[in-house]
This record gives sequence, structure tokens and C-alpha cells, in this order.
Amino acid sequence: MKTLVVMDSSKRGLKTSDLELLGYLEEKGFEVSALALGEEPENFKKDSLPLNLKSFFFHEDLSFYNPLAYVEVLKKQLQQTQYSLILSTASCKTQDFFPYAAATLKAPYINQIKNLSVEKDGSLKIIKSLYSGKLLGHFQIKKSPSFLLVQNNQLRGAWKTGGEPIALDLVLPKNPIQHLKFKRPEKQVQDLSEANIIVSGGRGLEKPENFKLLEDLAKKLGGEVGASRAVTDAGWQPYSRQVGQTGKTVSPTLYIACGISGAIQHLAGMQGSKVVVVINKDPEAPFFKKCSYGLVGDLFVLLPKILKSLE
Amino acid sequence: MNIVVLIKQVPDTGMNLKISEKTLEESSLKWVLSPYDEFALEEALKLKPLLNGKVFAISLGPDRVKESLLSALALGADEAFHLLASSPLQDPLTVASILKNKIQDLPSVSLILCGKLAADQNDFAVPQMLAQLLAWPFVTNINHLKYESSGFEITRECDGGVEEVLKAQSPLILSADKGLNQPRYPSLPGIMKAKKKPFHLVDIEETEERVQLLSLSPLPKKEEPKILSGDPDEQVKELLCLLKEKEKIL
Ligand SMILES: Cc1cc2nc3c(=O)[nH]c(=O)nc-3n(C[C@H](O)[C@H](O)[C@H](O)COP(=O)(O)OP(=O)(O)OC[C@H]3O[C@@H](n4cnc5c(N)ncnc54)[C@H](O)[C@@H]3O)c2cc1C
Ligand SMILES: Nc1ncnc2c1ncn2[C@@H]1O[C@H](COP(=O)(O)O)[C@@H](O)[C@H]1O
Repeated sequence: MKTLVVMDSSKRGLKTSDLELLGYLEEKGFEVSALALGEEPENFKKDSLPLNLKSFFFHEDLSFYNPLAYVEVLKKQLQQTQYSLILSTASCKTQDFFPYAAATLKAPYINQIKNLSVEKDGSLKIIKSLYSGKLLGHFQIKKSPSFLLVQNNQLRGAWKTGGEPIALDLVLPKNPIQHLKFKRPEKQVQDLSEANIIVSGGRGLEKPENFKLLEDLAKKLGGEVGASRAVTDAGWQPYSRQVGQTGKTVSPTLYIACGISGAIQHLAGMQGSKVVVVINKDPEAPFFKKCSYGLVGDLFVLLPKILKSLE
Repeated sequence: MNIVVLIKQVPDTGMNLKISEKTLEESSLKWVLSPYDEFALEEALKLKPLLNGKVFAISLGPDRVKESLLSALALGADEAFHLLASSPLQDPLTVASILKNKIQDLPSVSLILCGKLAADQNDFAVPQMLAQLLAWPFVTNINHLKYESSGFEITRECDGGVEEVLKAQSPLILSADKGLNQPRYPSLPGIMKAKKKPFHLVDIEETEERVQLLSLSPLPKKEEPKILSGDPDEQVKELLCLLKEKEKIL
């Protein structure tokens, strides 16, 4: 089954989850090619590139909001090669243009995928997350090509290196949307939905300054800081950090919840996490029923100790 | 200039969702307006006086979605269109093309507001697919909108909390993120008036879907929670040991 993995490229390089998805598909024996799209990474030529990275397209216009440009590049690729599957991991960017591309080709589209397999009759079986991560849906697709977006940190494998991709030469359509400016947060962070480790804080942190504790731990672990709605509503953290039913749905390998009670609306956004550590001083906090490891105690005592032990 | 707002009714995902075979057990459900659609509706109501037009609320779904449309009318939408589907649809492209057929019939619509994703399927797709079918420009995930005579100034959140400020002209499709506005509450006079507003029941042609739902299942059972005992030092030591040795994370 000819498969195209679309890899998001930024100044920092190719997106890790996309590389891991490529590795996973290689391991499972898919006939896979990859296409890198976006901004030119600062270290592109020096890095050892994935073996199956066949082509790339970097253009200044792709650093601005420009979904139709992405669709155009994909369309051109699909005219050259008959891919059955077009895959990537879900991000702000891919979720924006994949549905449009699918509609262009009247093709099936599925988002928030946790697992996929090809059946003997060539049909696709897909397991996806539904209802903010509370249930799984088992889907079948018989039509190709299909446009599929996989949740971050779900399908992971080691990719082979040694690729010598070629640069695509394309004329992009005119962008109907005009870019005015970017507003960057004080420190640029990874999107929560992509983070592999999340350290989240709730009302138990007592005041915004105390989030420093979580930031230190997140930094140490190479993760990101999340928050409960009590925290974002109070303005202690921006909405982009909120996890839950009305915030981000996250699927990290490790989720550490500090001073969060574990309301069902919070759980709705993080149940796809692999390992969940809960730190709460109330032994009756509902979160303790939904965790892997629970530490009953004061977070202001426990967090500094964890940090110290990691030194 | 008239505004269309697309609303979907979804189960309250804050409740316990029980499965009966392929579908959710209806008796255990509370139906609500999908959270992001509340922002879309509020924004339509705010823009209405500026654009000097009407707000048409449209929902595709079974009988029960009438409730959501009535609450949209109570909040201030002018007309409601209920596109009656006999069974829930799984394929966002099918949904988008049914919606498109209706929207095309409506007079002088040049703005369509949607939620960025529906809380049931989490597809994040219908607005963009509709944009493709109508050949209109679109911006997803917006958290700020300002109308000026020269067009719309739009802010959208990209990955990692970076925001991009954009300018676009109508016709336009926008999908709302949290933070766009603070949705209003219905008033008693609003609820009374809603009953007198035009409510159109529209039949649709059911078409084949490209994706089929075979079954639903709960999340795989996780191991029983392990509560670490001892004094804080012992708890921390055991936790780090588990994360290192057992989970191989650190
Ligand atoms: C429609 C709707 C949507 C919602 N969406 C979301 C959502 O997306 N995300 C979300 O998070 N919530 C959401 N909520 C809110 C949710 O119901 C809870 O109110 C919220 O999650 C509570 O936040 P919290 O756990 O931080 O605060 P609390 O419930 O107040 O819990 C604070 C916890 O901190 C503990 N604590 C206090 N001090 C310490 C200490 N020193 N050390 C250790 N522990 C301590 C306490 O024991 C307590 O358990 C939603 C609610 C509704 C109605
Ligand atoms: N059945 C529907 N009826 C009306 N609007 C819908 C429907 N499905 C999706 N939408 C709109 O499209 C948005 C995104 O939904 P989705 O692509 O399903 O995640 C929703 O927030 C609604 O605004």
C-alpha cells in the first residue's frame, strides 16, 4: 500500500512525532515515502535525513497561514504517484489543510487516530479517539486515497536514515488571506497536544508565581506545562495551556497532575496519556482513581524533592 | 449581509458515556451544544448589528437537535434550519456537502461561523471541507475577530501558543476557538420570542459515507492505581524508580 507521510518542517527541524510515525510505518512494512513541507530547518543539510524522505518543499509563504499552498503541494504529489494513504500527525497546521485536501479529492478523512491496520481484503481498519478521548471508535475505510491524521505520541518507531531528498519546484496559488503579523508568547513553547511529557497544575498551586515549580520540572524532563480550567479561568495561565473538555486533548507518555482534583471535564482531555502521576494532598481526590501512580501529600514539599532527585 | 452559524448537538462529554453495541446508550446522555459552537453563535450575534443582516442557525441531525436550534433562536438567531438526518453521520465530507446544499439556497450569505471541532467526533474538518465545496476562503481556530469596513481582522492560534493576525474579506468561513468571546445566557423574553421565529424543517438526501463506524469501545483498562506510601522522601524515591525502571520514561 503506497503511503505518503507528510512531515511538518519548522526552523527547529522536522517534527518528532512525524519522524516517529514514519519509523512506525517502516517497521510495519508499509511502502512509505515522506514529504517535508514548511519552513526550511536551520540545520537541514547537516542532519542525517530519513531514508524514505523522498522530497521536500520549503517556501517563505508556508511560514504564514496559507492552507491552500499546502493543498497545492499535496495535489501535485498525488498527480505524480498514486498513494493510497496520506498520513501525518495532528497539529494546528495539518488539521487545517488535510480536510480541505480530502474534500478536493472527495476522499475519506479521519482525525485523532490511535491505531491503523490493513486487512486482507485491502480495506483499512482504524481506531480513533472520540468524545474528547473518552471512548474509542472502530472505523473502516474502503476508498483510497485516504487522508489520515494520527494523534501525537501514539504510533512510534525508529526511522532509518540516509535519505537524499529532492527539492520540489512549484508555483504556489495566491493566498486569499493577508498576513499582518505574528504575536509570539514571551517564551515559545511546544503545543500541548504534541508534548511527550506534561506537568499540569491546578488550583492547588495557589498563585500564578508558583507555576515556576512546574516550569522547572517540565524543563528538567523536556516537557511542557499544562493547567486545569480553574487556573486558566483565573488568568494564571493562558487558555492554550488548558487541558480538558474545553481545552486541549493531550496524549503524552507521562502526565503529572499537581494540585488538580480530577474533575470529569479535566479527565476528558488527558485520558489518552500513557502514565499518569497524581500529586494531591487530599487522599479522597477523585484523580487518585484515574492515575497510574498517586502521591498523597503537599505539592510544595514533593515537587522540590522530585526536582532535587533529578539533579 | 447575512450570517450562517453551524451548530452541532453533542453528548455532554463531562458525563459518563455508556456504550450499547455500536452506539451510545441514549438514556445515559445529556445533549448540549458543542462547546466551540457556542463561541461561533455568540460571535454571529455580536456581528449581526454591524453587518446589518440576519443570523441563520443551521444544524444537521436527528429530531433532538430541535432543542439546540430553539436555544440558538432564544439567544438571538433570526431563523433556524433543521436538516433532518435519520441516523448520525460519520463522514464529515457528507455533512459538509449536505450543509453546502442548504447554505447555497439562502439569500446573501457571506459569512459562515462554525466551531473548530465538534466535541463528539473531534474531526476538525467540516468548516474546511465546506470551504472547499463553496470555493470560499477560510480561517480555522480563531480567537479574535474585528470587523472593519475594509474587511475582517482575525487572530488565530497556531501551534505552541503563537498567534497570527490576518486580514480577510468576505465571503469567508471561520471556525471558533475558545477565548473568542464570552457566550451570553438566554433571557426569558428571548425564550418567549424564539417560539415565534421561523423554524424550517428540511429533508435531506442521504448519501453513502466514505467512512463506516463498526463499533465503539471503552478505553483499554489501565492497571489499578498504585498509591505510593511512606514519607515524602520515600514516595519520591519510589516514583522515580518506577518511572525509570518500570515505565522506562526517565
Ligand atoms: C462545561 C464545563 C467544561 C469544563 N472544562 C474543563 C476543562 O476543559 N478543563 C478543566 O480542567 N476543567 C474543566 N471544567 C472545570 C472542572 O469541572 C473543574 O472545576 C476544574 O477542573 C477544577 O480545577 P482544579 O482541579 O484545578 O481545582 P479544584 O477542583 O479546586 O482542585 C484543587 C485540588 O488541589 C489540591 N491541593 C490544594 N493544595 C494542595 C497542595 N498544597 N498540595 C497538593 N494538592 C493540593 C486539592 O486537594 C484539590 O484536589 C469544566 C467545567 C464545565 C462545567
Ligand atoms: N451535523 C452538523 N450540523 C451543523 N454543523 C455541524 C455539524 N457537524 C459539524 N458542524 C460544524 O462544523 C464544526 C466542526 O465540526 P467537526 O468537523 O465535526 O469537528 C462544528 O463545530 C460545527 O460548527
